[in-house]
Amino acid sequence: MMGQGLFTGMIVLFWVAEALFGLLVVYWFLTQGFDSDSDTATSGPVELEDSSVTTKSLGMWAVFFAAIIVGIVVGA
Amino acid sequence: MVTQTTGAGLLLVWAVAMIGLSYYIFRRQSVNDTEEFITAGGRAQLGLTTASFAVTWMWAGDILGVPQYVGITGVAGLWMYAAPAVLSSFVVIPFALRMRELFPQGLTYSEYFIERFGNWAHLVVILVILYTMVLGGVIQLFVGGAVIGGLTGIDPNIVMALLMTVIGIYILLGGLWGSMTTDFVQFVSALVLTLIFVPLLLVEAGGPGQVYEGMVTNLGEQSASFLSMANFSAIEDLFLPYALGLGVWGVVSLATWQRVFAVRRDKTSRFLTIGGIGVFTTIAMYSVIGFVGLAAFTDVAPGNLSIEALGLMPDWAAIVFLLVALMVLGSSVDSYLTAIASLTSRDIYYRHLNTDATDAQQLRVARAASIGFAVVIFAGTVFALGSVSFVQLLLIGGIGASALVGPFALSLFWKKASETGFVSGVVVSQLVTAYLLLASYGIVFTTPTLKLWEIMAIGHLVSTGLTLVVSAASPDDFRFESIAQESSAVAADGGSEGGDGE
Repeated sequence: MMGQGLFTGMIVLFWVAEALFGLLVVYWFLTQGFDSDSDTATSGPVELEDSSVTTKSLGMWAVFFAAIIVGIVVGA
Repeated sequence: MVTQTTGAGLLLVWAVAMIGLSYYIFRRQSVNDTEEFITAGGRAQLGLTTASFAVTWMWAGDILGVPQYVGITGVAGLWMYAAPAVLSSFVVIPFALRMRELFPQGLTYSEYFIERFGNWAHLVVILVILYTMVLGGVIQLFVGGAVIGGLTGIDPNIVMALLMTVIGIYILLGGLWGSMTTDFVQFVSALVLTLIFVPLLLVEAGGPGQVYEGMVTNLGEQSASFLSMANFSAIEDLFLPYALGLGVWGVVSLATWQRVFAVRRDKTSRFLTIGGIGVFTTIAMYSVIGFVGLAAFTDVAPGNLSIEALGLMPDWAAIVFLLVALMVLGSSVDSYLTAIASLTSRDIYYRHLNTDATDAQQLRVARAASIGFAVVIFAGTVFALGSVSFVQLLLIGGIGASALVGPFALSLFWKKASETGFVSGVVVSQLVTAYLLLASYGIVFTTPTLKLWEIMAIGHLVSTGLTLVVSAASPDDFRFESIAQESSAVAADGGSEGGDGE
């Protein structure tokens, strides 16, 4: 059974994570706009993402799932 | 409770804002051809696509569903609901990368099945996608009618009719561009309102410490299990059916694929990752409504926790909540409606009914379909409101995915996967799961009675196993390079040169 401190910390963590997520997406939108016409017109074809990008994405998922498992164990 | 006048005013403001926004993007992006309408030209940027993807996955049903899960199983309910909900974003990554390698600029992912197999496989896929997308729309509208109607006192049928009319109009105007742009505004609004609403709710309840104490007091002997993240008692009823159905639903959802094809190719896994993980945080925030409900009430059914907890708030806070519901509802329904309109135009009309159709004709069909299926979703929801419960509808919504995910994966990565194997796997799986579902609810048949997760698991096993066995017995020898779009060079705007852009 989780304690009161952990319970409060969990809610705060969710709030902060939600705020950061929103800020990141809004930042992307403000810096990149709607579409990539002007960017790609000069830089040429858009290739499929590099394997390092895919690896980083999968790494983020690994950390995310590990965090859930840790949360279940710690909050048991 | 919000007065009917206030509720009607809010709906009117939302309607004007969304239609106005869609008209703006219709003019700005020149949505005058099928490619712009269906895939936003394949050049949408990361922020826009991530916001659209995330808010499409923030279902209006989450507002009721997460507190209900918490009411049944305590704090563990938040991960039992949220983890499967975002699993789709992870599972779809290998599918998305492979498809964008073969089809740098597809319009609908279902068209791939014509190239890979043929017309029969394509027709089967169309059927599964069509009812899956309609069901997705019904699930959202179901909650919209119940929650917004419940909070404002307006007849749910009138609320639903108004919602579908507005969404139908703004999709008719802007297609995917309209959907994604309104999604972005809805994403920001939903997040900001949630970030304000949840702390307010906690303050009204006396703060997190008071909520914790209230839960311990009210739950008594059950508090140890309800305040444990490792409470697995409801895993078979809550987690497993969700994980096996909606957890892979994104692979089947045409709405997901439209965004996969809309984003720049070099951002594919990034937007799925950030969008998916971000959705988890939003869903987790809704669990606070359930915590407050458990702390404040001792004898409320889990399904009513949301409404009861919201009753603790002053009227103006209920307005904030109503706005959150409107935003997350609109974003999901418009995505499914765009997907259905695209499917009707490209996969049904162009591929099967009029293969010589001009782009203008396809666009007209897509726009007509956005209105036609708005009516279908509305009618389906009116029927569902009186027939099934929300959780039944939610969990059954994932049944189509159990038939398609395995065979789809085999078709992408195994050259021996054959059309006979694919079609028999999908069709037999759907028939078997339909029979088992009917029997489980005692409709027409009475045996066997299986748990929902068992039915889902059987669906996956039958579809994947049959495709494997039949294809092994009568193998294809498919050359993937034969369907890779002719020009490997992708146009500067992210689209393919010489692609199917008639």
